[in-house]
Amino acid sequence: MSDQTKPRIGVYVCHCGMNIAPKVNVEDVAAHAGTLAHVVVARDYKFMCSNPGQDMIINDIKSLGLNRVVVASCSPRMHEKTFRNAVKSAGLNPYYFQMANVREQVSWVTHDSMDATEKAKALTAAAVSRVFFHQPLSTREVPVIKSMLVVGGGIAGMQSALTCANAGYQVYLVEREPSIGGHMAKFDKTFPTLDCAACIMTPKMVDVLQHPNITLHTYSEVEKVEGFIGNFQVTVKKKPRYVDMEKCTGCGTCMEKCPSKKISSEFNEGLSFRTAIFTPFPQAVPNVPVIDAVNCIVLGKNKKCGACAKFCETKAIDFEQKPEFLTLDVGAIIAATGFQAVNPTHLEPYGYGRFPEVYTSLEFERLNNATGPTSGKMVMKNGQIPERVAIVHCVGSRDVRHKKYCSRVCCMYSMKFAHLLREKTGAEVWEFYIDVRSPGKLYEEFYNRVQEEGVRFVRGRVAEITDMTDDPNDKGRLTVVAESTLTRRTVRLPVDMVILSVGLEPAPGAEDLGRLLGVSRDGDGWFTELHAKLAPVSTPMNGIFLAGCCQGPKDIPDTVAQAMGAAGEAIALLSRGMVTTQAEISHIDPDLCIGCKSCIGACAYSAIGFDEARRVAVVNEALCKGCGSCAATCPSSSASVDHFTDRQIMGELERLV
Amino acid sequence: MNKASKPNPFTSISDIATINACIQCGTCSGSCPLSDQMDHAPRELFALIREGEYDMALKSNTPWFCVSCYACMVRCPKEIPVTDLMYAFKEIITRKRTAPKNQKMPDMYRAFSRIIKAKGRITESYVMALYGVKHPLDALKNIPLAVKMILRKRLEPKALSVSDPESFARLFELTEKSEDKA
Repeated sequence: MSDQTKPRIGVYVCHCGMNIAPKVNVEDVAAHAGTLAHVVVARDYKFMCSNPGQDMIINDIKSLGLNRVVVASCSPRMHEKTFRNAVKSAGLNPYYFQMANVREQVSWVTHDSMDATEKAKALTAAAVSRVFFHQPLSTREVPVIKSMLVVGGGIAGMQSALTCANAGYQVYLVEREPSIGGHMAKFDKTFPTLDCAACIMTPKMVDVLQHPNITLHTYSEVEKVEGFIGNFQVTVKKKPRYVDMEKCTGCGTCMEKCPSKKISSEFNEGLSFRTAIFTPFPQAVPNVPVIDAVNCIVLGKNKKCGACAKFCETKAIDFEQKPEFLTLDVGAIIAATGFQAVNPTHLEPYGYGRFPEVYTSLEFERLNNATGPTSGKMVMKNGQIPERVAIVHCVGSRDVRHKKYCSRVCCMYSMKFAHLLREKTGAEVWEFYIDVRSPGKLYEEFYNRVQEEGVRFVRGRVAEITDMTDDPNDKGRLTVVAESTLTRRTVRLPVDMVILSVGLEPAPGAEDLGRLLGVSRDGDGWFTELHAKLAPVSTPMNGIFLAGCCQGPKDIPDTVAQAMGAAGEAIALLSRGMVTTQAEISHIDPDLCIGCKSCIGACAYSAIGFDEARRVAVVNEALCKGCGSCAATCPSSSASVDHFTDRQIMGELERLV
Repeated sequence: MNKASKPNPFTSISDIATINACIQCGTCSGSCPLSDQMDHAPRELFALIREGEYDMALKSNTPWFCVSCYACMVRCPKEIPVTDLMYAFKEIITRKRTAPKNQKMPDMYRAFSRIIKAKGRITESYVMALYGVKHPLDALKNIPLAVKMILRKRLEPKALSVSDPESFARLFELTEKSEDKA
């Protein structure tokens, strides 16, 4: 024991309203705790976390001279901080406190009331014998680097970057593609207001480019993330563009002259071609082309060409460019990596890839877009305007074999398509849906508007799409087969065009970024927020926040709101200026260390260095997370973690086994 | 048991709980080549059972039209074993004798299992003979074809048996008992 006084322990058992008390006999648990050695007082109370509950602890510390406290209640994640603060405010070191979890680990998971009471007694007794060995610990304050990193330049990343930059902080925005803009840049109109996406998007893109506080790194990827909240070191790889960004004026001559013209355009979803030197779309930001090294005659095929270089007046083409690595020091990171649309090829009954007139929703967005392959004309591959179009909802979504979740945006964008088709072509539009989900401001109104415009809604999931037609006059058209569940009959509808409203899935690379950031992903691959309701933009990794679809499917209004929320959290961190390091960190006893370096390899946070002069391992206290890998690995027992010492853990275990 | 509802006659089916996950999307009925013939196509049949309309479900002709093409089961977004359930429904309906009056299939099923019970294996001519007791016109219609097939040695007129039908009967009994328990 570090302080010389005898341990005087107080034990408090919480009823937690109807959560613990109906299952666990709390009076019994308190009475049992009262009989244990060194326990001076043991009480039970309805809500220990409430103000009167905390006051009870504080008063007892003062009046009874307690110097150790045990609370048997919920999980430490819920209220450990609350009670440590209470202990601290009574003048005690906050680490003279231990929590026994008798809610999540007992009352919620035990059927029998007797069993529950016995288990609660055992856990409380274990906490009492552990707290006996507790030692006072202290934290340190370290300064926060006043800049941040945003990963992903779609609408979420752009909005987060702009909000933080407007608050006066330096923002680095890293985007994998040659231009920022993300998926929203591909859209023509946005539901439910039918705002022109380009009109509201392009000014924001230009703002991002021109903002004095934003440094834009396009065609770049995050390679490595080190450090901790407030002090991250991020390595960013700038992929070679083969075009000098300083010299290029964006005149576009290179693209006109490039002879490799038959490359499928990613931005137009493969519906048109691009050249080997290209910008993804005319309003690209920055308006500097990149050379696709695979398809370029010089870089990919190692043959003579150089047409772009020959005609470039500013001599901006540089075939010798190499990848560049930058190190950015930031205090906070916002992940905004977005989504990708589900590829429906494997949904065989829908015939995508087999029938040319079956489109994905993103392909249709491009058909509908003035900068798209048809300059905004909604025509079939043969150039004719379709007379009847079927829109198939829930493609890949709400299906346990594909994506079990509802992708949230498909109903609304399907109805947007229906409206635009009615307006632009007058075609008959049939929506095949399971349930129409329109929970948003003005969304139900939009649904009603589309109904009034004569769009036909059939309640039934499409069973198959086939090129076999019932009527010989319909030869060449597609037949959509579904049960109309409201009229209890099978519909076999001949149509000219089918749009598959495909669902959303995490962007490729989310897995890698998750690993770099230490942010976990849920079963569907979306990044996991710290708390579904109360911390939706935070992650279990302090200082790393989430914005937009990388956390789950979202429409644009929700994405922008969440992006601003994530920015708000990041700004709160940076403006606080200091972060408290954790007290529970590892120590290596130099007298016992044998210099084997096994802890250095075991440390996931690169927090252990080696002192060559003394031939011993040394812990960097700022980087250590107190995970205990070093203590478990150390063959000489020289490494130990504060608050998790062998004596403390053995003290706890002795009571339990 | 809930006082408000009648007992569910389908609880013995091992996968019956899967229909609770049905989202009534109609993929099964839309995929079914015979749904036009059914009084309550699969989606609707599941809805009836969930709503407690067991009598309507027991009298439904739906399972009897199922041709086991498995299109419904392959496409169901909730992985409900629709075709397997149709077999289970047929068994329960046959035992409870609730099939529609004009439905002959339960008699065929019974003829089939009776001959197996007695002989340990089937002989087509005897299945038809047993079935013919209930539906003599159907059986008579088939006699000219049967004669032709017998002459060409394509149909066995004598009832064949396994070597030890008594042991087989015991096996059959035990199986039935264990099914009743389940």
